[in-house]
Amino acid sequence: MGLSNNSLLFYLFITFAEIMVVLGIILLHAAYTVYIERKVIGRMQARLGPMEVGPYGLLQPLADLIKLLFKEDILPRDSHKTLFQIAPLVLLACAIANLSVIPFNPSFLIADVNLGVLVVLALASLGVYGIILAGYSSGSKYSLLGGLRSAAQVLSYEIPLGLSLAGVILAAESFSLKDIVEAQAQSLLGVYALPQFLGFIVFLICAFAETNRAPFDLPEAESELVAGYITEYSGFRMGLFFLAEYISMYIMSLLIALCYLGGWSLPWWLIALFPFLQALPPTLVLALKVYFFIFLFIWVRATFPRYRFDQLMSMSWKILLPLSLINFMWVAILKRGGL
Amino acid sequence: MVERGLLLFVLTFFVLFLFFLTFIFRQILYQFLTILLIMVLLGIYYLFLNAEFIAAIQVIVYAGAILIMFLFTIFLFPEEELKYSRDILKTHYSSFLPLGFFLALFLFSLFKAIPKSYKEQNFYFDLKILSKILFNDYWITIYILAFLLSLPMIALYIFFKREERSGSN
Repeated sequence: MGLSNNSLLFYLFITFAEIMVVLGIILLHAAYTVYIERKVIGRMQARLGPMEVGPYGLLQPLADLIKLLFKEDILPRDSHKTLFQIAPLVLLACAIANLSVIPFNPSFLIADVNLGVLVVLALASLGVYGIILAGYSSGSKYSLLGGLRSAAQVLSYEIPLGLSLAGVILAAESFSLKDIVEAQAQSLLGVYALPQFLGFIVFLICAFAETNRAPFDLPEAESELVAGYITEYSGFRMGLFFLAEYISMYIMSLLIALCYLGGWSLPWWLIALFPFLQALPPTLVLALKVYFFIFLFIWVRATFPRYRFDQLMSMSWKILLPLSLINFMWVAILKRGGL
Repeated sequence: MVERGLLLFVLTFFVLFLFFLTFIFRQILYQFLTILLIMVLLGIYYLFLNAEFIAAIQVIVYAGAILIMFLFTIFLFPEEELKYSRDILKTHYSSFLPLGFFLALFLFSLFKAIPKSYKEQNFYFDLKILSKILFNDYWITIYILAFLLSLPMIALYIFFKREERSGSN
């Protein structure tokens, strides 16, 4: 390492503090996203949403947390006990670990990894084991079917997701998320979402599928599989699954904002139109973009009906995969043309 | 370099330990999980060779995609076969043959790799050189691996065909 003991300790302390800050902020966001989701969906369905706990129901996440923590932790008789207990932890650990390589502004990221995009993809592919093992270890047919669906879904959607990201990597000539944002700021249009519109749409759809959110929430389809792989879970372990799902939503929103919408930077033409936007701090710019996508996740959940499983599969292999390949070739042509 | 050597030693110990567990566990699912961990640890081996790209690809492709297909196949087994594989150690001594074979191969490589004098080395990784070595010197191994990896898919096809036939009867 080449560091003296004191500087090593200081480095460790700073890293630990950074982890605590990121973890604290993301956990708070995850808790209040549940509240916002219930409120927004309530409004869309002409209801008020949570109103009972605290003013405007603002303390509802706290009440939910207390309820989940004090509920009985039930282990089904036919379950594989060890796997059943560690499955939600696997999912949550992989979701949280993603945060380590994501930059939140030009100078704040926990680990400056050259292959940030690949690390996120690798952790996303490992996280699915949490869902599959939860499905299998529950000893229930509903859970098993949920796990099987999840395995097929994630495997199918990871390919177009990776291929659409390949376009971004080709354009930025780097795997580092920080470099991708900087390359976008220097590009002709300031964001990759415009020249790579096809890749942006493919990535957006795949993000919904990868996070098991509606309309791709087949692994936990209530009307068919009770609650899919979560059926046998109760108490805080069920809470861990929900926490992982909401953190994954944030990871995907961050990735879309960083890879396609310029991250913390704003395109030159937007600043030319509204010069006051230049005064916004970089982290706030990124946060606003992320909040927009979180709202989109909620909006889509309230609007679209669930896909059938065969529709889900054919969409991935017959539509998204060719589209992502076309996008990749389009980026190659753009690159060849020096754009 | 000493810390690096120690880490490599601990990593190798874990890989070997998991390798033995693969044969000792009685349930296919636990055996699968040990293979999954070995795949992830192999990614860390690549990090030791300064091959970050291959390390990430190792985890994405092998641990993330191919092993999920294996798991998919395991899920489609009848439940009884997963539960009643308890006497495998007593009855199937042949399962130790591949273990012995791989262990011999490992020890052979290990002894062959021991340097005559220890000297610090700077590892330099080049994807082109590795590809040349893999696809020219070890092309038979690559073909065998490709064949082995296609086996679960063939097994799945046969399984479905049998199910179809028994369903039509």
